[in-house]
Amino acid sequence: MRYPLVGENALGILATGGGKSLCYQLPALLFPGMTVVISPLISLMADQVRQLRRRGIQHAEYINSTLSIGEQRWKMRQVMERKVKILYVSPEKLQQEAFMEQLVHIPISLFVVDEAHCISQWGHDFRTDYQRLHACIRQLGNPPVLALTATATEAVQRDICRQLAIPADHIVLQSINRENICYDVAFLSDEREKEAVLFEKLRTLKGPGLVYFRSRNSTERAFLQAQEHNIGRCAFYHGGMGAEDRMLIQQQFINNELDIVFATNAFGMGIDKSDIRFVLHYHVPPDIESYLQEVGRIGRDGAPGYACLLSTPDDGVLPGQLIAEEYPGEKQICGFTAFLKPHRGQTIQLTEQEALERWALEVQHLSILLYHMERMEWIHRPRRSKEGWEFEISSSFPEQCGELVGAVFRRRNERYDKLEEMRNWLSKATCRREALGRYFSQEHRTALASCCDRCGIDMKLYERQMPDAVQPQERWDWRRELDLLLPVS
Amino acid sequence: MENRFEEGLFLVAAARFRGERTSQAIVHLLRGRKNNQVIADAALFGTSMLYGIMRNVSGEAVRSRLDALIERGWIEVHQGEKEQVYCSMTGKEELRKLNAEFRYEACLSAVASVHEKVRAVRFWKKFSLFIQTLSHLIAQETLFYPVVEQRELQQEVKRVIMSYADKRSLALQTKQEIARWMGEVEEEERQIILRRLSGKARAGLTYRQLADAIGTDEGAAALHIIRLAAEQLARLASGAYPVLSELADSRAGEAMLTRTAQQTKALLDMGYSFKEIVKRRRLKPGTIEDHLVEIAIADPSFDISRFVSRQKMDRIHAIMREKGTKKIGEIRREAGEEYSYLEIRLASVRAPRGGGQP
Repeated sequence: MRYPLVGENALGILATGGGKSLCYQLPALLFPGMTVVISPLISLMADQVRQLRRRGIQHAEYINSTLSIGEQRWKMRQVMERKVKILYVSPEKLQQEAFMEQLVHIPISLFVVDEAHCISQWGHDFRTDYQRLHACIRQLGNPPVLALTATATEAVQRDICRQLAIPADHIVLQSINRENICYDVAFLSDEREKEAVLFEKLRTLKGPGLVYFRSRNSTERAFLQAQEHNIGRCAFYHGGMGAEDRMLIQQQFINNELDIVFATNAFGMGIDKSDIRFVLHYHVPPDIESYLQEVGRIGRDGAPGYACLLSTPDDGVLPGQLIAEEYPGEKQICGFTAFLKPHRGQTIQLTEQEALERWALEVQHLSILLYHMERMEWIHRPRRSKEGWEFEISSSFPEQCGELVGAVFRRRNERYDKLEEMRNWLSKATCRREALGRYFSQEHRTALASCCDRCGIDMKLYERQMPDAVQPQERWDWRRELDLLLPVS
Repeated sequence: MENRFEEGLFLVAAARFRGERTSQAIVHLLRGRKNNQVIADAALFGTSMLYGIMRNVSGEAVRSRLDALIERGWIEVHQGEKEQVYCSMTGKEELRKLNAEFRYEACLSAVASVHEKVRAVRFWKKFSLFIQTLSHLIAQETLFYPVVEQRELQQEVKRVIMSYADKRSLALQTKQEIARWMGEVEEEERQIILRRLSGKARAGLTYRQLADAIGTDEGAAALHIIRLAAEQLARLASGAYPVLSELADSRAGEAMLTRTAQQTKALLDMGYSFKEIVKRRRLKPGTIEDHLVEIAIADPSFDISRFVSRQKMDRIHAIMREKGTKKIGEIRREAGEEYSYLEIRLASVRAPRGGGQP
């Protein structure tokens, strides 16, 4: 916290649950001006602000494009009236000229880049809008910058510092070793065995806990199977659910009304729960950073917790496919460039609809292409408009699309490589904790309880003392329910 | 995966339209297209409860589900001057079964317009937040994650709670009013209402969890909550629920008008005539007509006799009843050229309910 307080840039590498938010929330309240916090996740932003409010801190707000125009306008008014101390903003929002035009009038004491690894191509979660942040920082008068992340290899650290002008000796490194987490991997021959082992573990593990899946349907399927196995007090959670219902599941979990949630990775970020005792992975995460982020939700209270990844021989297939889907194919790329070529020197507008219909380019795909084309100076000034994009095609837009295809595939292959690294870690014969440490150029040795399956696990530490007796179902009585809600008489 | 509850929604819409609209009109209705015609139709055909019920599903997905039902023969389209959509004989048979299970008709009868639906939804949201807040207050807890995010609704609930000095006595009174409400509904409905509410002791159940608890579909649980809210709103007029009444929106429907319709209404209230409004606002007469229809739908107490005489209105209603039609063109053919489109449109908004035989 020292660096921002003396107005200097810094990068903090802190373990999940290591007090990351405190690093800027406390200084923010002490500073005269406003603190801007860039966060990549819309839902996380909302959760952070809610948590601050729940702790009694009212002067926090968040702005992103999921809010209605009316809501955004109202919040901006609060900002302009200097009533906001901490403003969470999405990087996309910062790209909007109209928004920046207003923001430059507010004195900003601190610029926080949360999840700073998103700025780096070498990271697991690269987002193009993060790379435009340095320009925004300049526009806002070069306030001190605090970058934070829980996962950064050395290459990523260097990249973050370079892009955000953070001196190399201003890196504060906390060991990201989570001593109270035991890392287990179960090797199973097929899907059926995986299912069986999952429910066997759920029967015996001490909860509450989470089971992570990489697809929405699998969370619902697991929930149905849990019901068949007579496992109660569980629910599923994924981004396809309504916002209200998602909030309710979160709240039920926090209140200990649920023991198990079958979820996609949409669940958990920013959840204020310190006693999660296990995290199971039914599907392999796409990279080690995601894995750590997800198991990192275990035991913020410091007590021993258990992580187990259920692995089958072909478990690289699904994540590999998911990665492939994120990137456009060669035909699409060349089709798109062929369309742009004749328009050299012109500004064109493109809607999301058109991109989809003409070249089967999803929003994500187009975003990636525009990013690379801007870097290679094939296009200039790409801007988001209401229904799509607007950009200038450079007069030097090349004849061939090969370079662009190369750039896109290079990036995609880096993701495949990270998936390989993840899978390699699974098959390593040595201590898993040490291997994780080495990945981040740290030395991790100590474990609070059991360390990992390679070092030996005492499952009794993580199991319930005795399986809970099945509660007889009482008949529902509305008067009792009403008493629960409003206990007055 | 087939969802029977959802299929029923398409069948209900097709049945109500009965050849007087195109198949695409079903898509617009279910997706809640923000269009005066769609909203006016919803009031006309009694399908307001279905408005926007599939707003989170993509246009393509809704269209393809509709096409699947057409393929199955449950919904038919006839080509005429305009496409006409019907619910087929087999479709109606299926709908009968589905209705026995999911009770669409009861839901549709609960609201006469999209505005009423919005009002019911707002009432429910304010009520949920109100209970959650009270529940925490009486436990001396001021900090929690509110179930409702919209600031406007939060302010209104806050205002109501602050106007009572003694929170415990407010809680008690509220509890008594809820108990009275419970006396008006079935056991299953009590579960839906009470278990959806969040309090200090426990969070509310999701629609899926509610549905699993009572053995129905997730979508049905969500729809019936709106129905129950709408039905309770109607009971507030009796004066038996003073606290709950404070959570209902004060002015029926006006807040729901589009801004431009609000402006027209303001001029009407000031006494300007139709012609004067057209001139003042420099809009097409057809546009002002659209506003009048919108206003008439949103506010059941809006007096349309300024624009259509009692006599003409009765004649129009008679034709609608006899011919079983809602089509403006057909009504005009029957009634004669002295009946303007505006008169017919306004009169049909005020047509006695039950319009739309299945």
